[in-house]
Amino acid sequence: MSSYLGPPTTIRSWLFSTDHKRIGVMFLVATTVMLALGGVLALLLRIEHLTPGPTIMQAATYNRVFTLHGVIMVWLFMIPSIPAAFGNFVLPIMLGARDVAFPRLNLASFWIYVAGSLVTLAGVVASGADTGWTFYVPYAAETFTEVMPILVGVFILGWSTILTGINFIVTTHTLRAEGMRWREVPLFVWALYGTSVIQVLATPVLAMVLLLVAFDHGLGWGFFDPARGGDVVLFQHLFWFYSHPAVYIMILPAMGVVSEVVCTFARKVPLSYVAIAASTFGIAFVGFLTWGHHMFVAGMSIVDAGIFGALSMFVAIFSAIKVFTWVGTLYRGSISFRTPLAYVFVFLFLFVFGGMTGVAVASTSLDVHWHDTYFVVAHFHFIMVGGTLTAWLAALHYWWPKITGRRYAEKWGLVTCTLTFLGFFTTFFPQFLLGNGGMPRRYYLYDETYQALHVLSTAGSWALGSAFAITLVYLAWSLVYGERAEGNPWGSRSYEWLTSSPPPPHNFDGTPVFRHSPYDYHLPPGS
Amino acid sequence: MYAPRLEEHFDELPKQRHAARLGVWIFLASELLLFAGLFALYFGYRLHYPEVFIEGVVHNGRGLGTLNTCLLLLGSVAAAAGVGELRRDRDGRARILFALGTLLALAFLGVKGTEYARHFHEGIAPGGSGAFFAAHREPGWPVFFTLYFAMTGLHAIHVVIGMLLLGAVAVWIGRRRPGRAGAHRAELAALYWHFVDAVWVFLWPMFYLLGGGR
Amino acid sequence: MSRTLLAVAAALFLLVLAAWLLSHVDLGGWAVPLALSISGAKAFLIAWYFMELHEARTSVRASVVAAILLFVLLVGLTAVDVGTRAPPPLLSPAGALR
Repeated sequence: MSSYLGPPTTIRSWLFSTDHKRIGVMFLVATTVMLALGGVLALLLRIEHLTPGPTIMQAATYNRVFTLHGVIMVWLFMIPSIPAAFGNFVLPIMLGARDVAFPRLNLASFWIYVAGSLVTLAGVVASGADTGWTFYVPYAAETFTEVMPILVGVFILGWSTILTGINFIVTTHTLRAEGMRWREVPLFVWALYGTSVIQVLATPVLAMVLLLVAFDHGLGWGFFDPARGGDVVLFQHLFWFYSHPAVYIMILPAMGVVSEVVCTFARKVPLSYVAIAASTFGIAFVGFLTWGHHMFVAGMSIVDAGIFGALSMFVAIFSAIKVFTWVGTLYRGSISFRTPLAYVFVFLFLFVFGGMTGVAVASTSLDVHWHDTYFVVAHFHFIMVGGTLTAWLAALHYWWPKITGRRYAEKWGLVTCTLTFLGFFTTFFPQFLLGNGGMPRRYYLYDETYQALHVLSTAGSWALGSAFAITLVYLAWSLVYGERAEGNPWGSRSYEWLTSSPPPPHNFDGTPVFRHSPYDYHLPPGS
Repeated sequence: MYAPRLEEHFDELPKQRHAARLGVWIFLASELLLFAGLFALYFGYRLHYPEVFIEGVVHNGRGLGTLNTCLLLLGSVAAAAGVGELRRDRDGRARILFALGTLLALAFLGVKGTEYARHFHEGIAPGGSGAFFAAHREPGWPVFFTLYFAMTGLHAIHVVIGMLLLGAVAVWIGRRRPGRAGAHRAELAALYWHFVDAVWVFLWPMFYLLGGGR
Repeated sequence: MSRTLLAVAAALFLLVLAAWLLSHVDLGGWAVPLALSISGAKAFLIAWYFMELHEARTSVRASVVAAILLFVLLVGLTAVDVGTRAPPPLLSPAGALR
């Protein structure tokens, strides 16, 4: 039985492969390395905060570390993490296709990602930037730190996401298996479609604004220089026009994973397929309308602040629809409590918790108090780590047998999942209290009244870091010693499980015709 | 005899062509958003500095901008006509039309270059550097001209790409004589060119016409 | 060359002429919306006829509509901000004390 893993197994055959599965695996490896790098930077930040004064680094270093942590986590990990790795691997198979619509463009996406990452990391090595990942002007245009490679690197990375987005949308439209109606498209595919729409339309605005900052910094063009009539708030409009929808690029694929895992491990049809699919587009659409809620205290007009505050309230509706639908699907399902589902339970709790704090912080009057404090930091880490990273871990365990053909040790999975949750909560819950108590973000020194909470948070970060390390170890172990996986170890009815684990080079033997919908659990197996 | 190739992951040529067309359109959508940020800056800054922007437009004058508008529009007509001729198997005429489009694009770039040279000569450069700004000190002058260079510059880069695409199609038609089977490829190149034209249609009034009636 | 093509080309050049002529008139606050409307009409003709949107699939049209909507949203809400900001105080409190 041939497998996409080879032969051929030469490095060349991998690095120049146009096979979406190999490209997905390469993205998975690359993004995991970036996650580890960003994670180490986070651990260093937390160690620095063990004491109110200097601990292990100078102030200038601290500014660089939090900037790089943000840049690496947002653009080198979070944005590509689920779509470029798991999306690439699974989407064509879920549609019954042999590959994505533009396989060579897909390979180009990967190499552009590598190029952008290397340029960004070159800036890190050179001296790093100290502007924060948000590059606010005028400081970003004036800083003596090496901000240019990072600006250029992220600009390059943007094209990788745009090309992936184009590929996924066109694939969904043109390469569905014979007879697959829109209503039978797996929910993960819809999530990726919604994500791709945002990627394609929002990323170019970021590309442009970072380029303008680069021109300001490198060529002295002064687009945003107040001395030459520039308006720094305009930068923020352009920046957040992308960066708010960007958070939906990060969460929509995670929600797609949750939909798949919930249905598989509850062995149940979704409470409402339409609700989940449609709310994906609801989130994508409304997500574009709310960017000004990052700018309430920036000097924007009160009229605009009012408009954005009101619009921001709508986003939660669609997320709530999803959460209720997932919970309703789990209810009275035939639950199989495996690691992917365990991570999904963690997701549901942390996402709802974090999401509610998001609605709170999007209220203009409350944000005046919380803006630029640890409250915001805690909010977005609850969603990005508690939400997206948790779903990424769920995806990693769920599709591990499909991608590698091996089973990981289930007990280790459940134990690490628990440690991950406990570590996460201990790290980030105290940060809500810190922020509400007035601790500003990105501050090197702090008043000693905050120390107890900081120490607690740092202890949590060690647990979280250990959990991640342990996960990598037992997964790596399974590659050599793990039990070989069968085609459908979870008993799922989603289409990717109809082929072998790992799949053959062209995904299916012959052209597939799917005779059931991906969530037909009410039908007997084998139909 | 030219025969288009069916990629192995597609089952039929029409699907593959629809995929290519949709892909190009989505790419153009992203290109539109690439310009969007600059348009937002223009209108934001125009609200900040209405008199300076009007003076800046007056300073640019109508002549060269209008000439460029006509060149691009003619280029679009040529490209559209070229696709039409190719669909009627008239390779010779199609090639001439695409070559004409290429030349019109080149002419546009020539005019643009002349304009930029004239600006530099007057002491106008991006970033508010240059002697002109010493004589015009109100805030808003540097922003107006920096936006002018940025937007027309970004657009000019796209004109170069469009020109190369039209030229490549002209050469390809000449070599392969594809007839109507080649119209698909020509169509995709023309799509990009029309987009470039459509963007200029907005840049023209913004930098050359909206001068308060003067 | 087809007749439709010639008609569209003629319409486009007429709109160019119209825009050029109007630019000689002081239209006050109407100048920008009018100019953008003429440009919009030209862009529509280019997209509808030259780019053949009139016979394009829904997916193609949807991508155009989505891009235009977001374009307008970004430019619009940014302009609303600048346009509705309160004017800066003539004297800062510190200045008033001196």
